[in-house]
Amino acid sequence: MGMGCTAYYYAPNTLQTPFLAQRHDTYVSVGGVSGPGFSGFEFHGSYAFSRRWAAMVNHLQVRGGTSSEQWGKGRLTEVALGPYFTLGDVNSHALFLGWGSGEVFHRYSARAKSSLSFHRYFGQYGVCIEREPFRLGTAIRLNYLQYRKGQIDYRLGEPDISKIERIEEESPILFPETGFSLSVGSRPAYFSVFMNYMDYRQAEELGLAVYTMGISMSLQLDYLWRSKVGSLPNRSVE
Amino acid sequence: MKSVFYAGLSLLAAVLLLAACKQKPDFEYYSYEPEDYALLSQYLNLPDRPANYSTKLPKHLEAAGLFAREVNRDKAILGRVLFYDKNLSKDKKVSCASCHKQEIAFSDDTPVSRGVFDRVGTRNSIALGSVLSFAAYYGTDLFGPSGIPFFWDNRAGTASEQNLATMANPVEMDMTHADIVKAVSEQPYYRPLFRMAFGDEQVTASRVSEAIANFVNAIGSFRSKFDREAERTIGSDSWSGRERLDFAGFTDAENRGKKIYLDRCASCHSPVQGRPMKMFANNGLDATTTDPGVGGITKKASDMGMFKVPLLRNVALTAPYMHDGRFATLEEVIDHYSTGIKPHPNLSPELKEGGQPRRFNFTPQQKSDLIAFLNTLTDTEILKDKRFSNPFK
Repeated sequence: MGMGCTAYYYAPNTLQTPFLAQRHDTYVSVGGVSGPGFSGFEFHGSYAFSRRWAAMVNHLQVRGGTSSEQWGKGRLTEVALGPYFTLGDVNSHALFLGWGSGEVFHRYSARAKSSLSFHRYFGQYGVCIEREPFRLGTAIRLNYLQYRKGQIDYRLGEPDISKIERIEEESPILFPETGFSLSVGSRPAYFSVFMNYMDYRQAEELGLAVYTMGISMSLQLDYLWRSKVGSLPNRSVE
Repeated sequence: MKSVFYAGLSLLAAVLLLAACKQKPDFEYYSYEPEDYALLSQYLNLPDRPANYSTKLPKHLEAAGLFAREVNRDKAILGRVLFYDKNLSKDKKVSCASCHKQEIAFSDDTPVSRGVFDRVGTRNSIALGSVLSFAAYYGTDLFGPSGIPFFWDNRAGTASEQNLATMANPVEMDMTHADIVKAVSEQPYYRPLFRMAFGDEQVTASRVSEAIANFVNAIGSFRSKFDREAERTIGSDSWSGRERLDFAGFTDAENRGKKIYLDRCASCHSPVQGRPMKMFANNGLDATTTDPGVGGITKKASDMGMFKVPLLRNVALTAPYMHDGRFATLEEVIDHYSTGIKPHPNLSPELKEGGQPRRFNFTPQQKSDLIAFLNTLTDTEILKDKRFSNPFK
C-alpha cells in the first residue's frame, strides 16, 4: 500500500488487543501508522456485547510516494467476532475471526497505473496484560489473503509487473503475522506504540510490506458511561 | 473455556474451508488505451496483455558463460509488427518475414531469396532461429570487437545496422530512410505502437531499426532435445569435458553422432551450441574465390572467400545450406566434409591435414549418426511461439 521508491500491494494492519473484561466494554482508538515508504492512519473499535463475545472493526488507510507521478495508496477495512475471557484481573485474552476487504492503487508514471482489490480472512489470538499504568499486548494472526480483481497497465514495467504476476500466481496466500503493543495511561485513556510483522518468505517477490509500526490514542468509552451513571467498571468477570 | 474451544474449532474449520476455496484473482492487464486497442485490432492480432520478450537461458548455457541481453518489451512488440509488414518494401510485397520464415526457424527454403519485384538475391537467407539468441554474443555494440557481426560477410556490427542495410538493399527491400519513414507513417496502427515504444508517435528510420533489432534479439532457440539433455547432464556445472558424457535421453546413434560432432565439427561450430568458435572461415567449397565474402568488405587477401561460421541450432530445418545454398540436404553437407573439401588458398586450418584438404571419410554409419545428432538440435517451440508469429489479420 503506497510507495516510496517501492510499491507495496499489502501491508499488515495493527493486531489490536483491546483489554476486554466484561460486557459492554467498549474501546475506540485512532492513530498514525507507517511502513517502508508509506504512512497513514488507523481506526479501531471493539465492543463486548455479551459476557463472552465481542466484535471488532478496524480501518487502515495509507499513502506514499515520491512525486505526483509516482505514488500509491491503500486501505483495509475489516470486522471480526470472537470470544474473550480474562485470567484474573490483569489478563485479557481474545480470539477473533474476521473478514476484511481492501484495495491498493499505484501510479508508476504519467500513464501507467494498477489497481488491485483483495479480501482478507483472518483468525487472531491476542493477549493484553495490564500492570498499571502499563498494558502490554501481543497477538498472532493467521491470514488468508485473497486477491480478487485487478486492473494493471502493462507499461508499469519491471519489477512491479513481475510482482503482480506473482501475486496472481500465488493468490490466495496464507501467512502469519505477529504484533506487539505497549500502552501507558490510566482509564479511560491510553497512549500506545505498536509494531506489526508479517512472516512470509516470498513477501519481497510479491511486493508485500513485512512490517508497520505506529502510535495511537485509545479511549475506553464504557468507562466514561459507567462513570456518568455512577457505576465504576468492575474488572471482575460478571 | 468451552466457548474458546468451540471458537478454536471454528477457526480451524474456516481455515480448511478457505484453503479449499482457492479462487484465483481476476486480473486484467492492458497496455493500450481502449481506443488504441480498437484501432490496432482492425489490423493486428495483438493480445492486450503484452508478451514477455525477456529471455532466461537454461543453466547449462549460463554455465558456458552465456547470457541474454535485456529486450525492451514495447519495442519488441513494435518490431514484431515491422518484421512482418510488407509495406516496408518498394513493391509492398516483401517483409523481413518473407525471407525469414518462422516455420523453418526463420530461414528461407530457397538457395537465394527473391526480393522486391522478384529480384534475385545473392546469398542464402541466414536462419535467425539458428542461434541461441542474437543478444547473447552478437553485436559489436555490446561485445566490442569480439561481438559477432551480421551477414555472411560480417559487414554489419549490430542488428540495427543489419536490418537497415537489408531494407536499403536494391534486391531485397529497396527502401531509403525517407521511404521507410513514409511507409510506416502512413499506417495508422503504428501510432499507438510508437507511442508505447518511444513515448511519442514520431517515426524515424533509426527507431524502426531499433524496434526490429529488439524483436530479433528476443528470438532465441534453446529448447531442443540437445538442450534438455544438456540441462539434465550438465545443469549449472561447468561444461569443460562434460559435453563428452553420453546423454541419458539420447539414443545410441545420437550419442555416437555427438562424439563425431565434437571431434570433427565443434572446433568451428561450438561444442555447446552457444557461440561459434570462429568469426569466419573458409570451408573449401571451391578451390578459387567465387564470392569474396568477408574479403569483399575488408579487402584483405587473407579474408577472400571467408564466410560467417554459423551455429547449427535447427540445422535440420534450414536447408539449403552454405552461403549460396548450394547443398539441398544435410547428407550433401556431410559428403562435402567427408570427401569434398577443395584446396582454397584460405582454407581453414581445421580442415587441413599436411597442407592438403582434410578427408574425414565418414562411413555410412557415421554419416547416419551425425545426422541423428544434428536432428537433436531442432527446437520446435520457436517454430510455433506466438510471440514471434505474424500479427497481421
